[in-house]
Amino acid sequence: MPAHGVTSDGAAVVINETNLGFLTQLAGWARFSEVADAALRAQSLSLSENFRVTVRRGMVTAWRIAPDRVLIRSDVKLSLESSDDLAVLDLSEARVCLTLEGAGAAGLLSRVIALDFSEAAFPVGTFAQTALHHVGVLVDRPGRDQFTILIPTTWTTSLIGLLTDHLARAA
Amino acid sequence: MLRIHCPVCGLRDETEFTYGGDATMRRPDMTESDPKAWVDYVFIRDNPRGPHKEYWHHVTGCRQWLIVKRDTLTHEISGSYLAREVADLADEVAA
Repeated sequence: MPAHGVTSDGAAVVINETNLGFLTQLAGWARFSEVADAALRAQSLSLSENFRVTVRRGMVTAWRIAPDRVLIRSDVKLSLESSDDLAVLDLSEARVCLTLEGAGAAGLLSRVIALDFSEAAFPVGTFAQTALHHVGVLVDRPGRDQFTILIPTTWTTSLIGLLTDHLARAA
Repeated sequence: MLRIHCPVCGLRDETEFTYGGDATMRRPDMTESDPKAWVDYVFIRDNPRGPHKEYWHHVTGCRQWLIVKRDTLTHEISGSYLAREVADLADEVAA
């Protein structure tokens, strides 16, 4: 790492494994929206109503991944505690963060994930949970030619291999 | 390849989902003592041709259970809903 390559149409891509920091999941039940929003506001964040839009405040990123679940990536451990209405789970060791950068990043993802990564369908500032080689991953687009992918730690070697092998074959 | 609309994630390929069975089945009341009612509930399924309601789990997406209205003859999907919302609605109607 990092791995450099080009897609079959000649666009450059750099794949890198980066420091995830801390990843915290909040999950809940019927009162999730109210309780999670209060917990997030204490961290200067808020609960998004949108399941596609990434919420960023400084070094903290939040993704509303389901009606009663949110993932928070942060550079420091958040002071969140579980309660009767909120389950706080530290997933920092459960995911690895990859970045794909370059003019070919969207093209490479289009070849391995069944989603439309055009700017119109997947604008900057949005995310999606989807399958990469049948493995559940979260894809975030912080910049036009920049993607962040959270992958299960146990699949790191396989999925990096899949991406780099694809670039090698394209070259 | 089916394309299923997830109310949370949007339109996705069938490969992101797993089929969860017939969504029209209703569990007998827990006090039901007739074995036939339980055998029917657990084992007996129709094989309908035409519109049908099915459970699908968005396993590599939001992990929500959906109820999908699918035509078993044409594979046309005419609607999809979060199963939890349909259940909540049924509870309200029953109340």
